[in-house]
Amino acid sequence: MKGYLYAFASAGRWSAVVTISPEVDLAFWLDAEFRRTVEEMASGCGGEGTGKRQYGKAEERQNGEAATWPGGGREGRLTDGAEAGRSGLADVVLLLDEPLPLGIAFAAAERFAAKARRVRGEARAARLLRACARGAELGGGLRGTLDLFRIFGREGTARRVRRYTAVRWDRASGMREAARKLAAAVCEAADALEGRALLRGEAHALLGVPARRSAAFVDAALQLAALLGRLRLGSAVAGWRRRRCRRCGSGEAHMHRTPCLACGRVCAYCEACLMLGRSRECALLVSGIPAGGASGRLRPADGLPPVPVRLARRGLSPAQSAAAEAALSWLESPDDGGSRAFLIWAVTGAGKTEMMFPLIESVLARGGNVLIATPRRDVVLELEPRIRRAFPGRTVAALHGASREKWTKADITIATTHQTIRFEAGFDLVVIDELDAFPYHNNPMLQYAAEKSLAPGGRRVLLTATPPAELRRAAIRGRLPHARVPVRHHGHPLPVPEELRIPPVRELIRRNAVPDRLKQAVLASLSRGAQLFVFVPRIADTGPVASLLRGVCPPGTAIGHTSSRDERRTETVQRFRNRELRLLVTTTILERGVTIPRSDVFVLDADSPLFDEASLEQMAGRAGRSKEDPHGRVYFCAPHATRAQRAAIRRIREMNAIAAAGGHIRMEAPPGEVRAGGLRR
Amino acid sequence: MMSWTGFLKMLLAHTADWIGPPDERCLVCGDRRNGLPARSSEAPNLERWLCAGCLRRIPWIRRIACPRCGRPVFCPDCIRRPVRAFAMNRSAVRYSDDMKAWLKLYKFRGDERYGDLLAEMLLPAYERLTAEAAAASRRAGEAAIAGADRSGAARWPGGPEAAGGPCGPWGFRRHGADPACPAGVRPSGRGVWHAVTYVPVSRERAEERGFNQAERLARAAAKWANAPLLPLLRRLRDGGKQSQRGRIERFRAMRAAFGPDETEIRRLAARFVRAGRSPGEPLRILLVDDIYTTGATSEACATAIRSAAPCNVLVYVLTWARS
Repeated sequence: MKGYLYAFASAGRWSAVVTISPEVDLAFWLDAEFRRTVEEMASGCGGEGTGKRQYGKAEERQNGEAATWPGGGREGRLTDGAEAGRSGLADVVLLLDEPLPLGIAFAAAERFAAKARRVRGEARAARLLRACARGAELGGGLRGTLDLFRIFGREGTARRVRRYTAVRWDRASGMREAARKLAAAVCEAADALEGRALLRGEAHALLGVPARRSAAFVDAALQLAALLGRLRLGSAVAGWRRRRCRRCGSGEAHMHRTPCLACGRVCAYCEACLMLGRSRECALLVSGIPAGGASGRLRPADGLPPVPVRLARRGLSPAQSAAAEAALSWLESPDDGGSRAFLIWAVTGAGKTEMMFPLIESVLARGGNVLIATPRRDVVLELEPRIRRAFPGRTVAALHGASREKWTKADITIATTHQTIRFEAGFDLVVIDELDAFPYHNNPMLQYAAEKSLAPGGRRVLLTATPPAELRRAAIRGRLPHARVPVRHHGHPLPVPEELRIPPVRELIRRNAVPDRLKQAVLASLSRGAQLFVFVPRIADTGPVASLLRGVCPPGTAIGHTSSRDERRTETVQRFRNRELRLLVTTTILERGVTIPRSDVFVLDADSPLFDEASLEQMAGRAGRSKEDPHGRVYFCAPHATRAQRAAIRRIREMNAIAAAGGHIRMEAPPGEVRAGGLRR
Repeated sequence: MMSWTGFLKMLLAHTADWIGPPDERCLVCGDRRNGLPARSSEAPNLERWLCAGCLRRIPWIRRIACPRCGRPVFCPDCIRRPVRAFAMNRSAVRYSDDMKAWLKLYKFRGDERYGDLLAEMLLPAYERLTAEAAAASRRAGEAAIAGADRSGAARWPGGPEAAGGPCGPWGFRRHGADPACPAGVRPSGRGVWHAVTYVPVSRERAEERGFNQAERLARAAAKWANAPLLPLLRRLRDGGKQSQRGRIERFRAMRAAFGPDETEIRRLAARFVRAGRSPGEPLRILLVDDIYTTGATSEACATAIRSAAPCNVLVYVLTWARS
């Protein structure tokens, strides 16, 4: 889209602003009555004390400086302009009468701001305004040079600058009524957009276009909100020479330039966050302004009940309590420049979600809000009812690609990691679940988004069972505060994987035979009533392995297979959860987030490079998660051992040892071993 | 400021990319393509975007059952409605679920990398249509297309006579070295087309979407045809969503949606006459759109163009998909 660029003089200083609704700006700067009305009305809806005015700071400084200047003829003229009745108003507005592509308009305003100090007089301001617009249009590098020819051709029809010194806003149809409506929309917009960064279309949808309001009206309201300092407007992709997506933080590598019919130029769009709507140079990005200002808005934790009382309410295991306590004391410590992130390193099945509850409670009780970002949609769906039950009376929003409630404001927001791109400075606590998992891990865009969604003074909690090496190092060396939970919530040790030496899967499929060792283990698991996860590295192998195992299992055993390419994946997994399937052949898509009460795990081709240490640990973590069957069996089946397999087994043993040393392990042997021991005696 | 170890790590991570083959990923499935690029007999350039698996999923229209609308299966529509304003339609692919998804990514999500891919996919249909148009004109006894002048370049001012060889109306001579037209895929029949045009979108849609997919496709066709790409049509009003309407409603809504750009059409016709054509020879216009469903859009556009043209006009329709 396009926007208008104008410059205005207020108390002798020139500033340039971009507007998407020029009438509002003219009235705001030149019509004292309109200005007074909207300011009064917009301040009525709260936020005046906390939301700082966009131009407020500049004006204060300017006024202060103006007062110290020796009074000259110029000053005299200006002071009567800035007398009591016209405070904050402009003396004159110079408006370029041809709209500019939005990105260019904002860049031009920036250039103007850099040079505005030196400007004296209207004629110079007008010249500078035109020069800035032209300069921003040219851009840099070869592209800019090429553009030069185009622009020179149009020099004859150079933009004209219109001069305004007085306007009157819509007196005919009742200025107050119109201003009241606008101010109400401003309040609604400021409130609805708080903590978000939305494209114009999204903001329009949020504010009821086209059902309740017209697009032009909402544009006017957004513009007025920006003038009142309740919102920030900008182009979604910004930067000179090197463009950057202001929504997802992606740089030049993800920019794709195409001719654009919306602005009539070649303009760049961001490929990285395309799935959430197109962010481009001439697109408007509306960012809310955090309510608390830069100091953080959380109340201190003094009024809350003591930590042990709060923890006791949640019924946590001793290991969980210890970790939650450490995290709570970090969360409630005053801001002293310490780490803003906390790592909770908890083994699979430790009950990470429950450990979050005291933290969430603390932030909510102190007037903040919480975002839980998780990599998968199924986890969002699974988490939502649990959070609702744990926090009755609080509003909960679940956001994912297919969810309808995209714009609900809530105390607790549960979102897939991608959805966090739409937030900006919105949350006092951001919990990042499974931070080492796809897609968050190694994705700078999502890491930027998670960082951006933090409100000033906000903090991050990172949850994982398998932290990546650099985080592990940071935690061990004390650079990153962390708590370790070495034991599962039921207090039994993690099942240690057993290694089965069998030929590679391809070989088994070729020979159409299952080695005896694997066969015995599978049959033993089936006969103890467990459900079996069979992990294979390649999607193509899931089907053949399933039919291979069908030949081994007793007739009537329901065997299924799934992968990311499976269209009925959700259904298949649901059937597995319902125990309709006894055995499921799958790829790593089920390595996390699935809890099956009584299950055993077989990892075939465990030597595959696709299974790294973290992945193996996660897969092993599918077994023995429930209290009823805490001793699931885990088999790593491969022709030979690899570093990853050994490391995974070592880490599991290590965690068990730490747990035992800490006295967290319940001192009862697994039932099978008791019987065996009894027999032996 | 990047830390030292961070820099080293980055260096290690990227070394493989620097010394290895360029990182070619399939546009559709995102898989890294290794080994020799896949070839397609239909449009050999597609390996630039697609892996072998995705290439195989393209449902090319190889046999045509309806000579009028280019449908690959028996077509009751054209039997019911034998008189059309356009000469014929040819489409590149069937509108399968895969193709639907691709078009959705392009049109609605705005992934404009698909624009080049879709345009390239148009090539087989373009060649077929051009051959058929040339054959039809030969049958009609037009000497200029066939015969000694094999390329059949239309005689425009500054055309073959001026350039001294077979070339199109722009007077450029083109070779196999052209990146858009590599050796072996020499789009045939230059000069069959006097102009290429496209189905316009409404202003709101253009501003919302930022591009007109039909125009992008037409641009490629115009390059192959070496003919001018002209905006001969105007969108009078936004027809709304076509996909939610029945057949009769579609035709009714579409008739009112398009109007001719009279000045452009008259200018084209004047140039055509100045080129010294006999009055009986038709002006052949290639109309490009993304998808042909009932033919309502093509019908309306062809009617609009013909209504404004002072001479005989044949409108041929080239679409990417036939549903």
